[in-house]
Amino acid sequence: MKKQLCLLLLLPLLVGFSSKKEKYISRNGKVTFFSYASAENIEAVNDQALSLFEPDTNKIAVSILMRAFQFEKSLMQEHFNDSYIESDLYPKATFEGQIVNFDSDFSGTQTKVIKGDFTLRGITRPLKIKVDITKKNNKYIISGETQVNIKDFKINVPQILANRIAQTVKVSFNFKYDYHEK
Amino acid sequence: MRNNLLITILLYLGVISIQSQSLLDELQFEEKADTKIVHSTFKMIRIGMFHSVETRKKGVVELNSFTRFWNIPEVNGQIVESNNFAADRMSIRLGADIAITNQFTIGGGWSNSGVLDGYFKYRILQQQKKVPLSFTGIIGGSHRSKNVNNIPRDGNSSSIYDANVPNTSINLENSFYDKTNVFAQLLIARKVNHNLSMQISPTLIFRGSNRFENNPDTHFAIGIGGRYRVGKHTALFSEYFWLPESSALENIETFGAYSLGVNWEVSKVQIQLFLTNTGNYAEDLVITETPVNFNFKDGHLFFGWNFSYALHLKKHKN
Repeated sequence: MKKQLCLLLLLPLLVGFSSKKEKYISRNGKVTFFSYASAENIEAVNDQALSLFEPDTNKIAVSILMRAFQFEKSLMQEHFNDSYIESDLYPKATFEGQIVNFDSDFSGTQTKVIKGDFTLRGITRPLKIKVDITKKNNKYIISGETQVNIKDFKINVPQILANRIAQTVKVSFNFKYDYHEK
Repeated sequence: MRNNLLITILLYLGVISIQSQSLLDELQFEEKADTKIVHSTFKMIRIGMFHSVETRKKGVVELNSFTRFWNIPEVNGQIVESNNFAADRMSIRLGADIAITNQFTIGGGWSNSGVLDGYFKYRILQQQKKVPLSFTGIIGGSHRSKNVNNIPRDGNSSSIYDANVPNTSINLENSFYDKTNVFAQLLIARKVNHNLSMQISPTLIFRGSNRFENNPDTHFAIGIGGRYRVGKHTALFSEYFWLPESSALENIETFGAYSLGVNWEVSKVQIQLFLTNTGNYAEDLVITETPVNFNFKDGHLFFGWNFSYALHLKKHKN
């Protein structure tokens, strides 16, 4: 009886090991943010964003290093890291989510919704993003854009600039995934 | 047998939990090991009156307007000077700092007391995960285009504002070199945590000439400074320069330059508001020739206002 119980417990382990899920990785994901402001537009590009995609479970994870955002003006970059994002304390932003109704057999481009949690400055908010997913030659490209409200993440804009900096920031992204061998 | 079962179950749960680690946890193994350079030890290239270890990135030019305001005390019950506008006297220095490379900055300025100053600043080493301190070297100097008569001739620092006691300068004024002092500084700083940064700055000052024989031609001084962030854009700062007795002027008592204030930066504008005990700007003048100590009395209290505006001549193309 007990022997049988042991076998029963071991069974899912064996199954778990055998069905190792396929993963796709993007090491140079491009994330851009853009803020329209009356004085001057603020734009920054990060082309070192990391992401893992698991087509079997529709799961996706993203990690964005805040210091890797490149601004047009160096002082802007310093303010972004030191006064707004506080990159010393919160070095990265992360996203973890799942694609709704994803068809992994479909080749070509499909437009789907990703639902997940976005964490910035240690604050986690639910986020729903419409994305284009392209499958081609066993590679995936996921791109899309979303709006982020800076108040949701306690990013403080001094009163003197309050009218000159937009409350919402447009974030667009483009991840190219290769098969992840591990 | 019971124990074996327990172990099996524990092992089972353990393996299951390893399997169920999230995709995000897995991503952490892919992250590149970065050098963990510590940024923004100080926000501005000056803590207040004196340089910090910071330099600006290539192509940034900062235009500066530094001002000091102070009142003149009554001497023997007599009002020497009065001005109803803001303060009895003010001084101003207009200058620019130009970042040639990310590590190398040059700068200069002119003050209304007739002093021209300039410096070369090089960022030698920046604090990193494995390097606990930042190092920056500065060499600079100042030249008096007209005589700075900031020391009372009788050697009594309390008679600095007494019109009956003529003032004089420490340097002679026969040639260009007589009127020029140079200095070298090593700035050593550490960002202790997100809010607190400290700096120590050993300094050597060489005089081009000396009016009084007993005064040393070479001065050694140590500056300490620090800043503490009180808000996302605001920090308190303080600085003090200590001159050992052997390095100080002999003919008059001098005091260490001190400042206490707040700096505030937003966008391209940086402002520092502080209280100090000197109305001069050039390092050699401020460190060695400050004849009053810091307190809140007229003639001792100087209100400082530094204003900087940053221009980006070179922009990063995305």
